[in-house]
Amino acid sequence: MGNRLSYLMRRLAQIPFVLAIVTITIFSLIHVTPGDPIQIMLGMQTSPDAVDALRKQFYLDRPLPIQYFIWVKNAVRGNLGKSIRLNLPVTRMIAERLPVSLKLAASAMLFALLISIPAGIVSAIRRNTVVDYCFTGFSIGGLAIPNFALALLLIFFFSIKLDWFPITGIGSSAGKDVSLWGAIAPFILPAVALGAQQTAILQRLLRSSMIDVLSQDYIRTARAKGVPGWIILVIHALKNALIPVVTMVAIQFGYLIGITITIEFIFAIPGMGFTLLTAVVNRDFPVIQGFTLTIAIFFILANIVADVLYTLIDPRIRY
Amino acid sequence: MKRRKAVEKRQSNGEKNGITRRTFIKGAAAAGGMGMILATGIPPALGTGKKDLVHGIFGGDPGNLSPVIRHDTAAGIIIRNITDNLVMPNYKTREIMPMLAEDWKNVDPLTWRIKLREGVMWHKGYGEMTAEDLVYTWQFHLDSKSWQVRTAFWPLDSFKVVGKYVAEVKLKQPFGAFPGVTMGYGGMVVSKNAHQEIGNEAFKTNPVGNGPFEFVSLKANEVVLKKNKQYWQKGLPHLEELIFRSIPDSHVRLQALQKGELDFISHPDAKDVKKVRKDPSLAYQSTPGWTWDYQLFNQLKDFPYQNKLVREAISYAIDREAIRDEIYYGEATVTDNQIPYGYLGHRKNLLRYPKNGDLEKAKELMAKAGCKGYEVEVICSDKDWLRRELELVAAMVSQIGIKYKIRNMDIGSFNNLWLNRKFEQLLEDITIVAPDPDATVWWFLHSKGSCTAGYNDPGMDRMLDGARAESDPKKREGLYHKIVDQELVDNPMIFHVNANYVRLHKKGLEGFESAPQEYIELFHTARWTS
Repeated sequence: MGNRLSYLMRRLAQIPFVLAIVTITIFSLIHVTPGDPIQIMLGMQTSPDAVDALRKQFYLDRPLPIQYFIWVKNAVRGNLGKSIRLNLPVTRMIAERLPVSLKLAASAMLFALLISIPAGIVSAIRRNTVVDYCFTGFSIGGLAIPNFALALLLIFFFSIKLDWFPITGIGSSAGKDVSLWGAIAPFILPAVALGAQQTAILQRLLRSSMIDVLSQDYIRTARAKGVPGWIILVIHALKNALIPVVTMVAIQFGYLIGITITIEFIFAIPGMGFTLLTAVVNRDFPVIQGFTLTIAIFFILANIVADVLYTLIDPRIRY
Repeated sequence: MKRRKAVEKRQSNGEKNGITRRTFIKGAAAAGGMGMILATGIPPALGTGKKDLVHGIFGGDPGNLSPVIRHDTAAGIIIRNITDNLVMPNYKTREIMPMLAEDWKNVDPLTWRIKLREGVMWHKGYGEMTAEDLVYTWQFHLDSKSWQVRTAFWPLDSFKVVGKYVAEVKLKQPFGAFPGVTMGYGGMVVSKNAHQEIGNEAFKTNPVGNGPFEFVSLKANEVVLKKNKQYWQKGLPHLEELIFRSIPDSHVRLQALQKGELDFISHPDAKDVKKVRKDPSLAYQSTPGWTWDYQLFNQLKDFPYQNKLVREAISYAIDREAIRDEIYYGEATVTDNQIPYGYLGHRKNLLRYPKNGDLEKAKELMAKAGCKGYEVEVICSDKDWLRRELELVAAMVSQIGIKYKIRNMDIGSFNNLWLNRKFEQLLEDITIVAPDPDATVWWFLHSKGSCTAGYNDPGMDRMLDGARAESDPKKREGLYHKIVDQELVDNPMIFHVNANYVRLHKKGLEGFESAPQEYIELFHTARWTS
């Protein structure tokens, strides 16, 4: 316990350094990329006075290192600046959009778990059979198809042709359908499109992990002792086989927050990715920095959670 | 041993010690449903019935809805339904028509007097609109150095209230485009009381207007408006609720319309329109837009196109109809005219160059210029249709010996090169916003204009300044004809097409009039008849 706590403290202490590297990298990259947000926003016919005033307002008239330190100084006080394009506080934009992305990522992960766990188990116990080959084929397909392409295919078949699910509606207060189905339905296609790759990753991971565990001596011993198959599978095998999966789930959840861009764009979901993409096109520096910082924090926290879970699930693991 | 075999048999049958496959699926579905509920929450109920309209608007988050802070086109569409303008163009007669400004007079060359309409009420109980609001708004633009200072308010010297509904404006120099540019482009007024009480920042997400619809809420990519029951145009609007939902992808917008999730969309992908027009549930409106696709030559660079005969040859080499059909699938209007349909000064779309080009004439002009061909880098933003258009144009001009080296880039990088004149030649599309020909020519042809690239003709400058100073619309019209004729000879820019603005909506919606202005989509007269 003491070791775990000290490990956790060490990991938390590393966060500022990791964030410093991330923010410096992002800050440098977006400022090196050609494109002036003020010019993009104001257009060609704006007076130099207006351009200068806006530059001053966003500290863009200062040298880059000074701009960075101003941003960091404000960020540690919880002020991530204002969007150049929308003129709204970035923290407010994050507060509005992060819950939407979290819901989407949670839905995608839920879908991935619902499919990958049974598929991984079946693939492992029916190793090298037609069933296993089918699941493997689907997994490779899930990994190979880009999520935007899958999203468009899903829309075509399940929304347009079969009319089962709506295309848009997440984050909309103007929905007509107030039923339970009306609440869930808009999430299904985005969750499937976003979660397909995670499904494949987790299924493959669980399969190999299960195969490994099922070949262990203690499983053979349990079988020899006549322990019921389901007990062997669930209590002895699955519990141990899930260790790498749980870790991966935590890491992948942080990753999902960062890759929702295309899915949010296609399904018009007003989350982090939707806004981040618009910000990149418009070189809206404060939004890019603030949103990237938030995503980085989530990713780091997800990794820490994964490591902690690892020790909780498998007491043999010590740091 | 027997027990183990039995277990294995059950496993091979998909059973896991009493847990059948069906039970497992049921359990998973139940868990999934619960998870979804926990993850999503349930949206609140809103109105039903066909008294509302959901508009799938292009672009990202609308964000700022203040008329006095720079907003993008998508937000402009929303703002125009919340706040009426002082004037509106009549696209057919090409006249500037009264709206909130009932009358305006050029008292002397440097003085304009504006009489506001009486009885126009601000939303949310902020009282009646008066001249004080107008003066406050324009003064706010000047004080805050807003983006419109250089475009709409640059000629203003001073302004004052001379009556409850009358304001007087003094100019620094005569400006005939005052009704179209200053009152047209800069003609959205804010309530002094509301703006001061709410605050400039908060006003962006809580605007108070005087238009047909009142602001209700802005939630990320969705804006909800409701009917203004005190609207000055009696009996209007017909709709009770107007909802704008940003959907950036044009295909998804169209599919959501076809599926019934939306009632109205604009900017569908041109290649989809032909097929969609056969859909009996949808209605289609297409209007030549106040937009150009054009080539711009950077005359600060040393290239053979410094010779205007070469530029003329390029214009003759362009098959504009092929661009319209191949790139826009017919949803564009061929043009060589810098002044689009609906503007004062517009005559017809093609004034000098044949719609299919004239290759022989182009070659003849190249020979006359003594130019055997050259290679030039042409930049273009990453808009899909422009990339394809540039490839097509490159093939056309290659027939007269000119090789275009195409360089596509994202819009941020493109703007950086364009605005800093760090290019040799470019192809771009642009939307013109102010409803006056001054806006379509002065900035692009005058040596002091911000959108030129080295074109400097004193004669053209004189004509542009003369037309700008003239306030008689008939005289102005003649002057703009001469300007355009000169442009067609000099060709500092070569125009290909005006892309049409296509609007699609469900059948049964009547009273919506499609405008050539991108940000004008007014729903005050729209109603559902079925």
